[in-house]
Amino acid sequence: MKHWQPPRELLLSWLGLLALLGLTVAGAYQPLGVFNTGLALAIALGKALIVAFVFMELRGSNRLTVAFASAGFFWLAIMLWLTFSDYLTRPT
Amino acid sequence: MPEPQPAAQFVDLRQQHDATLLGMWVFLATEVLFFGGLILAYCVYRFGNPDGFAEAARHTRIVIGTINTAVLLTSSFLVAWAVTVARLGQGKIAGMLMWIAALLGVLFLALKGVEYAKEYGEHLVPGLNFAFAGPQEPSVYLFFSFYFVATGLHALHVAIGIVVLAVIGLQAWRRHYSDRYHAPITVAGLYWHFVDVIWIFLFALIYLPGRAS
Repeated sequence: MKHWQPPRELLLSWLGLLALLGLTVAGAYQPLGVFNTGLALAIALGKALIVAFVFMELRGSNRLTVAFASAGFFWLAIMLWLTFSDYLTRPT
Repeated sequence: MPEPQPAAQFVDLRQQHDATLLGMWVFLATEVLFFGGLILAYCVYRFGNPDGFAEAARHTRIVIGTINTAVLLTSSFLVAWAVTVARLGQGKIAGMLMWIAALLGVLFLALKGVEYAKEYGEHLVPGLNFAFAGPQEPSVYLFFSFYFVATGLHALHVAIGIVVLAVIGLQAWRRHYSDRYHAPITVAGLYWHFVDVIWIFLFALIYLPGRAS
């Protein structure tokens, strides 16, 4: 009756996500200056990729599906990039 | 339960399944547009008021936020588990897992309600009773405007997701899904996981800044 058990990848992914959550909260309290933001976003990205590739099954998907899944985020990256190429290059 | 048949425009169930998945990802892309605009506004204002946003973020309840993140991550795990066993014909177990995940969603909303009540008590609700003593008051106002809009819209998505999980869970319990036909439970899962991903980023932007000082 092993058919009811969760696959190991799912279980390990869940535990990994909780571990990353602990890491990001602990990291927030470390005085890292400007790197606090980068660390928090990097860990968030890591968690999102685990959810996307394991839970949302992009890991086993064909390239068309991955392209569709990436489209929204690709657009967001362009919007953030173009916006901040303005703000970051303004003279103070 | 009669054999599921593909809709008229599809050659077979597999093609219908693939099209259903692509359609769901297109919808999720529109959700990225939706939350992306809010995220952009947050980034611009945080860039312009880093100290103010850090000060404001310190007034968020990190314990509730962290518990809520763990709750959603766990519910996503249960949904992914449910989708897997539904494909193996374990409809009863899949249904139960979906319902537990839906209950975790309800827990998330309950904790969010507790949090909102505390913030109301601390006069942090822009447009309602906002009052903040300190030089960073305009930035704190901006931060909490973003906070309530973003988490409020996210909570609405969670509420819709709870209904979706409950209905699909019931269908799974009734053994509607199998190795041959499981697109509905798969796309319900995709929606729920996406709501989780949004929260992962909102958590990092709302609860974590300013903690190191």
